[in-house]
Amino acid sequence: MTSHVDTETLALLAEGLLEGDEEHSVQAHVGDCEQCTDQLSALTDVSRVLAEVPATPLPDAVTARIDDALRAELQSRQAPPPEEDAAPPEDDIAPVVPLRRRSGPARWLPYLAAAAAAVFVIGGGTAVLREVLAPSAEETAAPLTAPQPDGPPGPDAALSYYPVVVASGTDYTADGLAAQGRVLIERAGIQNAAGADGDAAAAAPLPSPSALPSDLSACVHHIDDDGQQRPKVIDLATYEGATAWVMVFGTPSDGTGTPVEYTVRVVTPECGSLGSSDDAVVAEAVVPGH
Amino acid sequence: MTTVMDAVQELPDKELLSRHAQGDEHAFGELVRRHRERMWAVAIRVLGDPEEASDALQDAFLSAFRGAHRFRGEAQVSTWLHRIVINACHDRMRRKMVRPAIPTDDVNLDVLSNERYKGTTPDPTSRTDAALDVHAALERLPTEQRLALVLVDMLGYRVDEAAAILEIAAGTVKSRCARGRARLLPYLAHLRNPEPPQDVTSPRGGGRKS
Repeated sequence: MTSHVDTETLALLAEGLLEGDEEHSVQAHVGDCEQCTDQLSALTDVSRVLAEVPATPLPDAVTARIDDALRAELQSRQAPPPEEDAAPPEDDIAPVVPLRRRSGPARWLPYLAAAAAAVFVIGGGTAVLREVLAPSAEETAAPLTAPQPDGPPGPDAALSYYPVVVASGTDYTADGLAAQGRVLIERAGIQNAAGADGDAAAAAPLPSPSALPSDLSACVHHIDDDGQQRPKVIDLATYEGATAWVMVFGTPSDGTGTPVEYTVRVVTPECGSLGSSDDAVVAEAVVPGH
Repeated sequence: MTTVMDAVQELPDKELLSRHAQGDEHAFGELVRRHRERMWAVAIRVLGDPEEASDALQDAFLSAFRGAHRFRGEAQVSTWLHRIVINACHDRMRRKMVRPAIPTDDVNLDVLSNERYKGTTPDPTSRTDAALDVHAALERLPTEQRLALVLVDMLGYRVDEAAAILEIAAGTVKSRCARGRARLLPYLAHLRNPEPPQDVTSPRGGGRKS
């Protein structure tokens, strides 16, 4: 009993890490030695003391800081090119792809989703998709909705197209489409677009979708292909019980910024992959603008 | 009603990460919400200092955000995130390595430990005090022992989980833990039995190597 076992060897023994002979001799010694037995239990206590260190809860400030950092990271990804008319950079972080430009849904989608994310942070009842376009007279005269996300000043200044994406929960029907479309237009608050706050205009803000379908942008793109039409409101809903996207288009402006009439189109989620945009539209109704 | 999209909240981690990599801007936020508490727990225990831990956590999430495409599908997202957090902590520690190297002389350490202990308000039952002591003790360990002990002893991860996070063999985790515990023993002996308060002058309080 002249030499005790050192603490490290005891710790290794406790972990079962000693080799055959050594394990046996150490075990034999510990069995006879009060001091080493004691030390062994002190080692167990080390683990216990470590486990008992109280948890420091994640401070809210840290949560907020991380959210801010990630938001800034998002925005830096979407930073606009200095010139709206300049050709977008060719890499896949091209921040802004004008809707009219045929550059493919894969590049358009990140922007779509990013814009919606920015709005969710604001906490409005309505998700706003924003798309930066080279400003045209009609659109700059009538930005579709507010509040504007806290974006970088560049794109905000040039913002001209804000499709509103909602998930109203409505099941649209063939018979009721015009009336339901009317309700959607009213609730989405796009009517008094010029200067109006989207949320304030809506009696009951429509629920935002928690995520955007990945092929939504392809679909919008597809439908847009045959003209200058871009939906002002997109409702991720159902039509006659089947999943459908209800899109509200404004017909040409009468000059006041409010379309003379709206066209409500029901499209299937497959619309982006169909040959003709006509195939995608399963129903259509016209709603007067005033 | 059925909607076109899946609620992000219901998607598995891997799906979220791949959606994020494809440009879905909601996906990463959901991952952060799911994992931030746990990742904080790791960072605060490794670094001990809330400010350092929050820097590390932010570094980690940003680096995961940017590096999502590097995620290898065979690992758990959670394991991958842990690894990123640990690496971020490691970076922070390296940057702070201006402090003197860890003394290795046990006698010296015992003296330091006792001095430290006498210097503090003697309230061994104070949990905060204990946490500070534990952290001060952990700082004396080589980083790899510290990381293994944080995961296994402090956070209760299984050895194989810690091994996956640290990308080392399970046996290596065990030996690092064992050596770390042996090394910590003299500094934590006074915390062995928080209630009743221990007599500082008791022979159990200091190093008991013979």
